[in-house]
Amino acid sequence: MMDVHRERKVTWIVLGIFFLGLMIVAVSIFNKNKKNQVAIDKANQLTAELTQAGLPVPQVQQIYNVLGDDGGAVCAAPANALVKSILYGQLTNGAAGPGQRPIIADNKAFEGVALIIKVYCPEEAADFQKVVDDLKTADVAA
Amino acid sequence: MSAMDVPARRVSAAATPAVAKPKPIHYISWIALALMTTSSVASLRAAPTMAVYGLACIFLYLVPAVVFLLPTSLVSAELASGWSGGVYNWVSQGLSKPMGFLAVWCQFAMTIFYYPSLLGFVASTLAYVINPDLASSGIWTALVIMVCYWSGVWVSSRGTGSVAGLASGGLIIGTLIPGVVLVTLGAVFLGQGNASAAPMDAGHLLPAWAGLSSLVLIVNNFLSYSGMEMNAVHVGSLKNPGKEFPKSMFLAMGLVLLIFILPALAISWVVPADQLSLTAGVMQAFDAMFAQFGSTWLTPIVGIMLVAASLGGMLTWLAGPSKGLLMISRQEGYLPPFLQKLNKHGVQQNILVTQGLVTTVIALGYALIPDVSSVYWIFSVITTQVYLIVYLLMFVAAVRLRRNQPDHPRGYKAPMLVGLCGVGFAASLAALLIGFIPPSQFGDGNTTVYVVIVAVGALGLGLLVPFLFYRARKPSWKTVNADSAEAEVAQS
Repeated sequence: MMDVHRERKVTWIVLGIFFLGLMIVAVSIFNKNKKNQVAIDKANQLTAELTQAGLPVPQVQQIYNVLGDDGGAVCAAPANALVKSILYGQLTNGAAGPGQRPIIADNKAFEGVALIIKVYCPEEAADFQKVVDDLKTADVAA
Repeated sequence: MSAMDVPARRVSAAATPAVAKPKPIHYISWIALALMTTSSVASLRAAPTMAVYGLACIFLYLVPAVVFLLPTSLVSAELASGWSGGVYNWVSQGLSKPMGFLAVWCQFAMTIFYYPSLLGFVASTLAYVINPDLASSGIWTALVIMVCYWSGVWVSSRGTGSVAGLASGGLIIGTLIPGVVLVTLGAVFLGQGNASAAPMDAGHLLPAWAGLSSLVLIVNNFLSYSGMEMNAVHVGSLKNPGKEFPKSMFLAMGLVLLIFILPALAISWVVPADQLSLTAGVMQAFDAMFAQFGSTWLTPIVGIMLVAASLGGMLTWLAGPSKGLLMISRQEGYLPPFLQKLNKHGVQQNILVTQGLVTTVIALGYALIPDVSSVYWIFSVITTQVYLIVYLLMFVAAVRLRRNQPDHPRGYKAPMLVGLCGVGFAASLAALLIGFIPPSQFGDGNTTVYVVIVAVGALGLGLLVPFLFYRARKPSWKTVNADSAEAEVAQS
């Protein structure tokens, strides 16, 4: 029978190799270079939309590095049921454990996302708006 | 983690008459227990959600810390320094054995619905760094949930020492290191002369007041600290529980506050609130933070680190409540012998596997049935309601123990215990009541329907199921006496 300490060591090594491998795969797959002319143009377009809406505007490089030329994760089926459950999972209190519980979200929470969708994937705008319209919001953020 | 693997001690055979061959106790250090506790409660997962509130996130974390974190931590520190076994034993001693079973059942039952949402977060985080389209794939989500969950069961079945080491490692790698990186980047951003994205003046110290909606936000945040008492079930794995458990609680309290507040603030400095895209999940906020510095190569690394922290936290929840359930069931015969069986590491493997089968069904429903994933949030309300029952019972038990057993040796005595319990009880009750107010996700639905769903769900899961177990109990299901149950399970 394997000694307890040895068993734990094996567990640590197996999990260590697994997470290291996962990290290497993720780093090699993750699209780090999203800058191209279309991405810059769309970032400028989003900047204009945010300014017009009176919302805070991040730097252009932050926008194209995150959203690229296709909106990235924001435009990956934003009205899909599972993605909707991710959204619902974030309209919650500040718990990170089992105390996580839904709240009444701030009414400004979706303005920026709606504009991103409008610029990067307008074909999803109507479906996303339906998702937002189904939610109850209030002016809870300062 | 060598800190957890200190030399073993033999338990006196006389103290454990029902145990044929006492096994060595594998102690864990108080620092490891503090890291386990922190890992159970805090992670960076909540940081983008709270960054939306900017400077007011300090208020939203500090008020609950005063009325909920402080009472639960100090009261459980006193109880654990005097009585082993965790919440089941405290409530059993202070109120009654059936109430003790109810308390540990509620602590156990609420985790069943917690795992799918936690592992759903893991799936969406991995999707973000591998291929964002995977986030909408039920097969991907189901696969990640199943692999992670059952791997967690396998690790948990190897004993408290393994869990303590991995949970501590997960916290350091997946929460403390990336947390320090986030706060450093935020400070550099401000140091470069950039204006904070969120206003940082005195006028924004408090969240906007929107009546009942604000009350829902503030009171629900009490639950951010739920779970602080959970790892007390491992108090028997400490060398000197009376002194070491309170120390571990104080360290955990400090870490939890820092982990919750500072990274959320740092994100709010760099990423405007309206850019914290909620549909893309937590990773979008981290990505935006790193994009500001042209360091998006950090995004996949931090993503995998967050996954490690989440899985470490999951391990503590797998190992804790099920152990408490086992201990009282062995003494009182509340569960059939099959569920009381221990593996060679002294771990309640059959409870874990049975729980795993139930979780598998729920998780597959979450991942593969769109309607379930969309309404899953309502289960989280029901389970948090059930969890609050534990706190109500714990605070009442603590007061009764102080009155009825004033001379019982305690390694730590909480100051103003009755007052602390009063505040904690009132906060728990307020959170329980506020749970009946429909949140955003319920939209314009009928409030009465919502109240009925939450009430029936909470009563069914929190009271009816344990009542049925209690009614079905048999004297022949008692497998050990109280002393030997604690001694034997403490060895795991």
